[in-house]
Amino acid sequence: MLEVKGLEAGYGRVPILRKINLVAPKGEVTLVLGPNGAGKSTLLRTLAGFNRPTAGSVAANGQDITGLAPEKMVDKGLRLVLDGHRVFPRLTVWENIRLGIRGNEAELETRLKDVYDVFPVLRQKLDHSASSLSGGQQQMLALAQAFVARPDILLVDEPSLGIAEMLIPTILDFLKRWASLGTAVLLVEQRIDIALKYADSVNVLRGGEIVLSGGDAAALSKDGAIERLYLGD
Amino acid sequence: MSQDLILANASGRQAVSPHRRIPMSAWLGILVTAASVFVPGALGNQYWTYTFTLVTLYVVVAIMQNILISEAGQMSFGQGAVFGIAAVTAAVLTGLHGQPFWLSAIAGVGAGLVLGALFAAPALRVQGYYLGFVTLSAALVFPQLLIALDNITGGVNGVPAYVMSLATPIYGSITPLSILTVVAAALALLFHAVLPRTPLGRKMIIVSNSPEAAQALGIHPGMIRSTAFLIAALGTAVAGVLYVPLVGFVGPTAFRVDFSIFFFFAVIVGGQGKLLGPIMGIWLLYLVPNVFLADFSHYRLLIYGVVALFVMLVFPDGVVGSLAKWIASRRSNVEKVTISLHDALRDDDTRPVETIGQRPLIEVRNARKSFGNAVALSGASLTVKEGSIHGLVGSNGSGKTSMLNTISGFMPLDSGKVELFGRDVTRLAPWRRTRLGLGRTFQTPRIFDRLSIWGNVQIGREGYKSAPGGNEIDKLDSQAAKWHRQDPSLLPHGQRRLLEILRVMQSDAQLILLDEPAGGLSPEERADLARLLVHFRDRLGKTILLVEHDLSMVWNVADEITVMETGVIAATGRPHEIKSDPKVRALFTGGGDA
Repeated sequence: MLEVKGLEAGYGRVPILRKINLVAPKGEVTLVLGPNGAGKSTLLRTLAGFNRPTAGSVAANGQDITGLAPEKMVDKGLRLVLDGHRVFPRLTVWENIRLGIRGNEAELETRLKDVYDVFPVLRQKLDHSASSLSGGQQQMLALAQAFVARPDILLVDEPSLGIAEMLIPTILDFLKRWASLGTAVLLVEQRIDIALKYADSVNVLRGGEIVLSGGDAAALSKDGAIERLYLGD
Repeated sequence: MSQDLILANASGRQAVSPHRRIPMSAWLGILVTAASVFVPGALGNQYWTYTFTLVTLYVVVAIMQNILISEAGQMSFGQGAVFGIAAVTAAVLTGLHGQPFWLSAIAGVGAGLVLGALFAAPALRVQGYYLGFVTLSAALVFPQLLIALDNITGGVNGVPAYVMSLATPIYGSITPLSILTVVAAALALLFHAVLPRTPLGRKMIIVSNSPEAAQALGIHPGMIRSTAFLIAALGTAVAGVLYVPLVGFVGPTAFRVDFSIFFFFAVIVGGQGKLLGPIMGIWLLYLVPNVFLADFSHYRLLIYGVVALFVMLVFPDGVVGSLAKWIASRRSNVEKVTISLHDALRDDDTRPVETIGQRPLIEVRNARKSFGNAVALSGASLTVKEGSIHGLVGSNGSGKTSMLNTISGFMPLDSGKVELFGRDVTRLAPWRRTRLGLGRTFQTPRIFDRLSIWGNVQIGREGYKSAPGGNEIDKLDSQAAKWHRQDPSLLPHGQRRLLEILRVMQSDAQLILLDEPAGGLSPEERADLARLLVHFRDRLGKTILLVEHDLSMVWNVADEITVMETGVIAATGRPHEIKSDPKVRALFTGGGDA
């Protein structure tokens, strides 16, 4: 479970985030929406330790992790999957996946099987270098690498980026099942039309502030509240 | 809210004047340099005047080195050799052959340029560290050459050369030479200050950041790298020539390899990319070992190392770089920017262009390409007609981006043929294809943080000189003033994508390839993008090949759609015709309907 209280952050002295309060409970997919430039990616980067918050606190499973370095965050069970296909191109697909493994290897086989079930192409290409994958396949690899790490808290920045439309539901469904295994998933996504179906709760970010948050994603989307806030009418 | 969006017309609005104001730090640098020479000069202190004149000459070389490293992104470990060859040539002609100094100076600069050209020639093909080693070998060979050719150069004894007219003090211990030196340093500083705001400087920055993006903008990366080496050689050679009358003696031991490394170090220690970096670097690295610790001059190299190590530990961005960063973090006058396609879409009175024709602008025939046993394209053919929007869709890894790379020339084919504008371009380099009128964006936007947002847009039309009549695309100029001041480093992913689209729009490209332009865009931005594409086609007569995963967008805007599957074409036709094709249906499964 991830708890964020009164979080403020920015670049240099440029403030981007203001008074962010947010809870991503264990076992749920928490969706963060907002127009471009609202501060979604900054929020994830700050939570993952790449940006130091200027105020507020972040707690992982009740433990204060505010302002820790990114590699320490990983020790606390938090994991960020960045947008834009961040894999190591010179390593093979398998070496990339292996980098994610940490701790107990006992369940590794089942985790790998889960990954290959969702992304069969990765199994076919285990010995290929990651640079030979297409952009979308690299995105799958980045997710696979995070999955075998089995983090308590998973932050995902736009997993649909560069992914064929038919695969987006597959990926979101994968995240949903992943959450049900006991992970808190915080998801940033632009394809709201598809993502809303898979979210347990929604937070809408605008101008660096959370302007709407609700537990029932389905209900919120039905009455059009999200669309209105999103488009700023 | 955006029903009435129309492309702005160009008539009447002139480009805002380019902001070429010289930054304060350049003036500060000139002031400091001048004071360092003229204050002891006016007081009549010969030792300090001499020392700082020499230091200022080295500053000129370091400024050139700085331009090479930070703007052109090139390693050179051979600038000391360029300096040396200019000095030796000038000294031999004046000292041994009694030629007038001005003539010897011209010959010296010429010699420096010849060596610079030797560095520039491999720069046409290689870059970075590979090129660095070429220059390093020149720096290693040069002092040996001086000794080997001792019948010309005076060998180990060196060449004495006095130029009385330049070395005679005119006030205190200020000589015409010290004035010349300060002027040279001032010009070098001003040049460096202005360079990043010129088209040439922008091209250097693009080439050093992404040679691929440079080619897509019609720039030949090698030409730009070579130009940078020649410019650096010119400045360095001028300093080398002035060294002769200052020191009055040119010996072979003065230009050993550590002399070249010294300039490289100075830039890194001072802070690369910073105008004042070379001054700070040379002062630290020259004055500390040679003046303040002169008694330990045997340990000079050791002292270089210790100073460099210390500075790098305390100031990771160099002395000036770290200070500048600290000052910047104290300021808060940066405003947050948003890029919107609305900026490109405004009131309009241009008539639609009727250009949808049958002429194929892109013709790819039976393209095959594999990497080892990984097949990218296995006999794919594609025809894109003039004035149309052509959608290219398919699952991940089906070969869409490979097809784009084949068309723009980044992926040479194993077999097959590519024609653009009716011309066979199968073997043409990417930058040449760009110059035929081809523009493209990349899956990962190529945005250059060193340039302002406006600079990033502007390079679209600066890549190559095109035919006149392309000025109907000046519609973004009203944004120029705002975008001039801001760098794009804070822009989120989707905004960087829009910026790249605006860039390709600013170019005169008739044929535009877009690689997943809607990735990372919000639903509203997607709607604007779709509208923009249609306006591209209808108002400006552009032809667009669109690779996109957002199928509903593709089905809305495209005139024709091609579906790819594992490196081959699975289907092609008008949107409504191929919608019922089972292979097309498969793409939609689970993804909602178009």
